[in-house]
Amino acid sequence: MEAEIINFLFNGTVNGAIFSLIALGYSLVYGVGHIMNLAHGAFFMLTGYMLLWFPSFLPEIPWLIATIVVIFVTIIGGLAYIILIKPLQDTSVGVVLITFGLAFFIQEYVFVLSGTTPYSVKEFKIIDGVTKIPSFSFINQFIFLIFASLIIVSVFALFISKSKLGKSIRAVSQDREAASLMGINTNRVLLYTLMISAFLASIAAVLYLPAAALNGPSMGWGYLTNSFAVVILGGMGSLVGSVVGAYIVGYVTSFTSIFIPNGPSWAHLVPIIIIVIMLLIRPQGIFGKKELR
Amino acid sequence: MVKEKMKEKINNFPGYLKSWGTTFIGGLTILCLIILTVIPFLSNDLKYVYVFLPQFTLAMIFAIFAASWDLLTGISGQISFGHAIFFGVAGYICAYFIDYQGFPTWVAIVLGSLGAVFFGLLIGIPCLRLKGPYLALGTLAFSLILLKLFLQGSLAHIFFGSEGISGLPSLSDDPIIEYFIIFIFTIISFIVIIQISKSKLGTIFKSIRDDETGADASGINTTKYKVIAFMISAFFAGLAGTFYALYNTAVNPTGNFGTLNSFFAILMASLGGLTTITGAALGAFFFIFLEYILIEIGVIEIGNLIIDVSLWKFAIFALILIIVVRFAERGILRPILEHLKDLWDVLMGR
Amino acid sequence: MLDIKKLYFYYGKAKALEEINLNLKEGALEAVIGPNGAGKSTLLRVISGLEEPDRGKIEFLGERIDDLKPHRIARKGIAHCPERRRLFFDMTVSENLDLGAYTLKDRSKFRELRKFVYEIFPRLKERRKQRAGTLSGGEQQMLAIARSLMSNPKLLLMDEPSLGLAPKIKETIFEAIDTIKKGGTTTLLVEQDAVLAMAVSEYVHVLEEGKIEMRGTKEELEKEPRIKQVYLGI
Repeated sequence: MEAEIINFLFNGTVNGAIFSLIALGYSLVYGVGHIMNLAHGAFFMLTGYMLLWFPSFLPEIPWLIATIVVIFVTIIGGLAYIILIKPLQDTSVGVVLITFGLAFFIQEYVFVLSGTTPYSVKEFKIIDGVTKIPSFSFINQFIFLIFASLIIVSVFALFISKSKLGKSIRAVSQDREAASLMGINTNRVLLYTLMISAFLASIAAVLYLPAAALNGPSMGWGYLTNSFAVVILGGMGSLVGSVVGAYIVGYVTSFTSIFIPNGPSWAHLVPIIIIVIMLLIRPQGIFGKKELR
Repeated sequence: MVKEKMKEKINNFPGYLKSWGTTFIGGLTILCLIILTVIPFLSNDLKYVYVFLPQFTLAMIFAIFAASWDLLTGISGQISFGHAIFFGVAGYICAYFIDYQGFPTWVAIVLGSLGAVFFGLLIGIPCLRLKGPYLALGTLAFSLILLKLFLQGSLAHIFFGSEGISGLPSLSDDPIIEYFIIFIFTIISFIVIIQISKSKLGTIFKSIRDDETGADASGINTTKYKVIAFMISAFFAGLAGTFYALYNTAVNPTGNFGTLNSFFAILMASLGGLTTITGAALGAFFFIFLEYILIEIGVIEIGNLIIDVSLWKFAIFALILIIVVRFAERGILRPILEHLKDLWDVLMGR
Repeated sequence: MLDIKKLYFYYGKAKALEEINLNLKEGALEAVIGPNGAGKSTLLRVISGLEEPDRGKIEFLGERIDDLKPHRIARKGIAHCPERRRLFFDMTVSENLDLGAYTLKDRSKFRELRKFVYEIFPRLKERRKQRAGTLSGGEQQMLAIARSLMSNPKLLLMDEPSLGLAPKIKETIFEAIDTIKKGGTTTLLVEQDAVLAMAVSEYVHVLEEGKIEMRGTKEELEKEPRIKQVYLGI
């Protein structure tokens, strides 16, 4: 029992750490531009597969490859905005359709190159091995992930509240027209926002996937539904809400998979059920704030 | 009075048909119908009858499905990313009543379609509060829940697990007869859907799509009509779903509930041009045959490069969707048709 | 400085602005008055690029600006203090001022301007850490004006600064406008309260149903019987 409780707490924290990184970017993009980016999970998935593909092109220096991959995915996020989203950003249907198409395209592209077999990218672990206490073994990479996630989230919060770009991001999210009157290029801000969002999803993948596995090209949808559950729980565009929501979803998922019979197969349903309940009861989220803070 | 009006309408019908037949759209439709009527008889080759012809049958099934999506999303403005719900539920209900209750196929088809209508109500009501992207995600989430429930091993005694139900009877052992059954149902479905979109009901749907607050203010019970739109659309999606189940003689979670089916509906209707209904049919034929051709081509070699084209099919579809949404919001096929129409008008000296 | 020639703007098919000609000299303070819905706000929105004109020309310092995006126009030195203030309500007073100075590169100029606006509106200095959304209506208007001054604009467009304010606060605001004018900032003021507008400005344009029906100095307009009757209530 003790082992199960530790397992529940540890897994829940790991889930929360990873979900907060992914959902933060998703929430940011929605909050600032009202852009529902359905390709967000695909960015996460693509990062994992690029880690898999790159070693054959480059000398095997994990950190170098990981850095290149993150930069690459960040640029893809930017290009997706410039080429696909920007011309359609005033029509919510157009954005949803085109990011849906993009997600599908990335997924099928990965499918063509790597098929549906699971792969491991464990050579990209930053810390190998496990830390043992009598009743439980902690995977070191996950311990690292928890702390890294906290640091990244704090730096991000600081960036949003203090930096000039951060302030202009908040300004655009509160009143796009007034922001443009201040001389802020709002489309440029949206571009940066999308790049930051892709960057965070990509970092999350680099930290998490080496200790987990690449479960096929369609795994991005799972992370998209997770992010959506997190964001709808915390309130669209509320950054504090996203982090809190991420840990709630993380612990509930962990609880389901450990304490409920047949848990792991039910755990997949948790975020979707949260989405449906929240959409029906309180679409504005627990924190109920539209503005970005 | 009403009787007389009906009589007048019936008397005028041949004349109406004649004048409609000489318009561009009318002529084109009649041409398509003639082609579709003679196609089954063009060859006795086994591959033609058992492989090629069924592609037309499949295309027509998806045409009904895509048209039902267009009615809900294009005409009524309720974005559905979970249309596979209705498609899958109807297929499963139909399969269940045939395999487990021994019902006749036709009764099972009706029950399946009505089951989809019930789900239209079930999903339409909670989704009423959702708009735009929220509605898209809400419907997507619902379809994912159903998909996962049906995949759930521990619930296999209720939902049949990942294997689904197999061993269903075909509509007919003769592919040509199967083709004609679907053909007739496709024509009826399209006539009904198009008539609905042109009727008073269709006008109400469009007014809700264009300006919901305005429609509300002018006394239209938007709640009621949105649910009606969900139910009508679900009925036709369900009808297509039962045909799809019988076409495959089996149902399984990913094949019938998969997100891919919702994607197909969106893809086909968008390519043909939203709100046109007939565009959905064009899109369906385009994609089913593109898929068929890509699979037929199979592996190609360019120099040292060996490419299996059939693996790329969905990537190509996704790319087409991206291009259509980005560059041609009215679809590709409709503008082409309009250019042809202009040409026709010039030729006819109008 | 600002030169508008034969400007037309349509909302859909409805004509909102019709053949507007307006010329503003450097250092001037001119006002546009007129009834609600006459197109006063629209005129300012067109100048600052929030709306694209259908015909006509807008020149600023000899350069055409009518096809530029709002942020480009702002960077040329035009500050638009919009109708209903449009503050960043979830940010503090001082953050709002920071954003007002978004285009300003010079730190010492920034401090100088901040000192200046805190001098005109001491209330803002007291509340600099408070969220803009929690300010009173009058304070919000002060902040909106202060924010647009922070970019050190060459031209200030002010939209209905007195809207919804108590008479006493109106006076404070208009005293500030007077101070700003004395500081040398060229200002185009749009105002429904004709009495106040005419009290501060040198030259007044009367906009009715999208057209400039009349214009002149304060003294000239005060002699017009229609102006007296409709706008001044004498």
